[in-house]
Amino acid sequence: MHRSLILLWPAILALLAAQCDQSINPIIGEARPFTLWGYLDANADTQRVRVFTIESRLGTDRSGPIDATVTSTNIESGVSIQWTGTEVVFSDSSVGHVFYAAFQAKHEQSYLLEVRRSDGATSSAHVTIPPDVRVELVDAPNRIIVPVLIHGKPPNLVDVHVQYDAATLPPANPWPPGSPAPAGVALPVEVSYRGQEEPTQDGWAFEVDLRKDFETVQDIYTLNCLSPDHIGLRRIRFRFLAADAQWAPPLDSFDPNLLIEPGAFSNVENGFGFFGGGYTVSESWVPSQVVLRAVGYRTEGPCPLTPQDIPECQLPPEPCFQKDGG
Amino acid sequence: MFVGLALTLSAQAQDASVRGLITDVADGQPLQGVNVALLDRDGTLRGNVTNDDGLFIVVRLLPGEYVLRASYIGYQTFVDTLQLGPGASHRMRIVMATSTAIGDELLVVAEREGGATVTAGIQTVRPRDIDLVPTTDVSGDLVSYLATMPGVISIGDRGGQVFIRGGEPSHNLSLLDGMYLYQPFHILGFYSAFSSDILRNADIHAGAFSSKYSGRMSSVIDVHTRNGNSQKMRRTISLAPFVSMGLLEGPILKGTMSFLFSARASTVEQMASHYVSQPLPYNFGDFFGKIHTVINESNQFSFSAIHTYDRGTLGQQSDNPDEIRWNNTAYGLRYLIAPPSLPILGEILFSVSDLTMEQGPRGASPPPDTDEGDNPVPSGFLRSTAISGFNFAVNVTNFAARTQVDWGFFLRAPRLDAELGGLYQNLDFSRDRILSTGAYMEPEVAITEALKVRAGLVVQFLGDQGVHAEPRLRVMFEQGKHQFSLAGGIYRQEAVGLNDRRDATNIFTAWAGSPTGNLPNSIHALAGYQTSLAPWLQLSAEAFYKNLSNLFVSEWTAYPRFTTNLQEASGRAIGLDVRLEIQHSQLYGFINYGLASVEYNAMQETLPIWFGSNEVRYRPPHDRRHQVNALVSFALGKFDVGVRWNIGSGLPYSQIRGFDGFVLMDGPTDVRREPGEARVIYDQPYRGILPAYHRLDLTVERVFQHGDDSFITLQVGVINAYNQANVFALDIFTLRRNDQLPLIPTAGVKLEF
Repeated sequence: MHRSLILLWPAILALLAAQCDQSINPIIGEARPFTLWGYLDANADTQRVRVFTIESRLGTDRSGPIDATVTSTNIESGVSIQWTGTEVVFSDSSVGHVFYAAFQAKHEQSYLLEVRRSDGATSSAHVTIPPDVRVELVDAPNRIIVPVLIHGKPPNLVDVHVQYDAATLPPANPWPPGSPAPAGVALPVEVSYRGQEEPTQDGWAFEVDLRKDFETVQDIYTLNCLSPDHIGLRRIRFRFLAADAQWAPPLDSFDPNLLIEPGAFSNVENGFGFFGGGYTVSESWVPSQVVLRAVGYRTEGPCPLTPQDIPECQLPPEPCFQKDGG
Repeated sequence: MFVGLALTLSAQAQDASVRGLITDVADGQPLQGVNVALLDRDGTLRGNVTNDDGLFIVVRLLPGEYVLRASYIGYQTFVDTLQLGPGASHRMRIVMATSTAIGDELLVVAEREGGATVTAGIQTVRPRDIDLVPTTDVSGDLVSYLATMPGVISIGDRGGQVFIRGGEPSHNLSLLDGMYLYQPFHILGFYSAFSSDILRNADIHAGAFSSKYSGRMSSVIDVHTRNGNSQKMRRTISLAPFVSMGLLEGPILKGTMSFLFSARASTVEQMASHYVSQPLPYNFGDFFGKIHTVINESNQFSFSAIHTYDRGTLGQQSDNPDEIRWNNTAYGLRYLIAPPSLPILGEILFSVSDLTMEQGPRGASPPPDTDEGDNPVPSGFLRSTAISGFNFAVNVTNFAARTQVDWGFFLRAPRLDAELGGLYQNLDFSRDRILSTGAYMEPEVAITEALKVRAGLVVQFLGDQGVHAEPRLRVMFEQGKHQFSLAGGIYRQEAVGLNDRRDATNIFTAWAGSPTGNLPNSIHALAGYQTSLAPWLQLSAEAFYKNLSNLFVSEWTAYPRFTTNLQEASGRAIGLDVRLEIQHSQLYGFINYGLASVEYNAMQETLPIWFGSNEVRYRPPHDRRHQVNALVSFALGKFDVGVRWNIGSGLPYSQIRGFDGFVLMDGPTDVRREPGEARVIYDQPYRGILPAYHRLDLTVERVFQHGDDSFITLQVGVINAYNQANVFALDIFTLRRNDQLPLIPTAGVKLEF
């Protein structure tokens, strides 16, 4: 055996290996130019879309001009509108680009939104505005279970919830006698009715169960260190977003951990994000005293039950911590 | 156990037996592998070899006269004539001296025997093997040797993370004299709690390990320390720019009771960092002590204790990066017994082990109580985790004419604590106590002279997890110079180490019970072959397969952050380890090649949305496909030269397509007011490959002898001789790259007197 060969080969191999490329390229780039977020609102006279460019560094400063031109076209009429870009500073000090255009999206009409880069790369979304609907409350003030009928059939109902404009209603005669009445604290509670619709001949139907929802309201008040035994109710509001066919998340869930995955909930062609069509529908009522008492709400106290702007009766809740660490 | 007892009793009868202890005359160390042969008047030969503790036992001897020969390469053969009566149990203590008639070449062979011997996944490593690997220290360390093994992957030269044949670091069982060490590797990758100065040997079970071991699903590192010199006081001092060490050993009762104490402390911050072009903020060390006594030829007792400490910063992502700290403390008793009336060798182990680990900015305090358990861990606070508990085990070997039965029982009760102050891998705060008790039996039957079969079974009771049976099998066939082996088994892990492998600089491991209640488990199979191609050239090859179930890996998320949720995964590791070893005159060397493929199969709720299927198969970040280690050690005049070259193909990592923003459209969102969140658009996971890793280390050493037993060893060397920029970690969000250690000249001196 030639010892010199044995001794040399590690060095030869090492020299060969040293020629290997050591560069790393973790950012492989994305051909799709834009990410879009927003929707055409049939109730609004100005439409808006947030536009992100796809950057190669995290935390890129997004202030300054954006290389994007946004246009929308009404497919039925062929009318095109160029949108205006603005730079928005958000509450967290981040900067984003929001484009807007002054027009009202019409029910049951389709629109094409295009966001074009100067090199021609374009992201786009097709949107069809859902039909108009009418909401009917069946004898709402006098029922504990209130039927809500939606006439007209939008493809999707999003963010369906009942908002209870509740507030603590301290006793009119506080104990010990003569002590000042504690202030009322306003804490509205939203109860989701997502997925509880039943189809009807001309739309959808819900049943708002005030008694069942009162348990949720009490839980929320308890979590906020407010007495669940002194809750008054001023008004109930049923609200939802009548949305287009594409506004349907995967797994029927708006879980952000799910939807953040790129492409998970997107109708944008050659891009990312979601641009939908819809409008907000809302109906309110005030239950009768009989219904309120039957459900468990208090109806007496220094603060009035009817919606009035009395500051001491509408204080926001103060932060509190549960003793059991809940 | 009952079969074992039955074998024990049946063997008593009128047969005679011989048992004893064989030690080295110079320092009283037990000699392992001594061939003990008994020849009767008819020329019938019976015999055995000494075990790790220098003990041997030969049973089922008919009454009569025997000639006993104890032979060991490099030592003078011991010969004695024995007269054994019916039922006699003859006990001996044999002291062997080195032979001056045998040349250095044979001595070298004797000291290094087994270097290339990989039998059914087991490799026995001795201090001499370790000291051949060039390192930054005059003394060797087991982890440096491990890094040369083909199936062993380390992410980098810091972090203390060792992956063996596809298994995660927390899947490895590390034992020191029977004591559990949960994180035995120091933060700088050249060092572990296993300095070659205190080692007698280490058995590395890369997979398919025997029934004696349970509670881990990948591999076992079973380290045995040597005893202190029972003849005279010895001192060892070494000084080097990375670690300095002091060792004191000697007799408490000459020839009977000895002690050994060693202390090592890193000097890297004080010394090496001054001539290396990057900060080395590492502080680590260990203390080890052992008292050993030979009560008589049949009984030995030892007490060992160890404490290790580590502190350092691995990433440089911010101005005040997280620091990680951990401490191991363990102490244990070991009692060896060879009862005169029974053909058995047994050991009783009791030990207590503790690991505490913390991570957070320097000076950080534990997190406050919070009711926001769903949020990621808040920055600026300290995470902590601990695992502690006792281990009681009895291991017995029964000897019969053609069979040997290993059996035993154990009781472990580790307590697992994690206080993380926010979500970290699905965990916020946890406290578990795992009771694990069970028994095992593994008979070895010599079916023919060439064929041996060991079939074992471990039965464990794991508290709420119920009773589990884990069968094991080992088959060894030897024909001339060819040896074949097969092994396999089922393995289960009782405690889970949760970590975030997406970030190489984050080695924090939270110990807990299984988050889903499903215990991680694995199935191993391997097939090996070894032969001597020439008297100076040995070849061994071993193919392995591990099927891994109930793993926990980090979920894929487009949020640009680490340490979020876990997802369940399964996996498999498959590979081939080949080793060619040369021993020729004053030249020693080996070249190892490891071919491996590790694949994980993750299951996550979002995967169908993201990837269009219920699961995603990917290469985990420790899947190094190819690895070559070459080592050459030779004498050049009065100098010993060691050269090691290592190359490994690149490790997988996840690439990024770009960064945009996410706005949750769960209702009539006003895009003028909703700032949204930053988002990462990942490519498919772990599709990118980092550059290959390679490094050349070189040391030159000379030993000066002063008098009979005083030595000065001088060493100079260079680590990463051609200053290769090997990547250690890459922050894909900031593109900040951390490289492994650059070219480092090193020098050291070691005094032994």
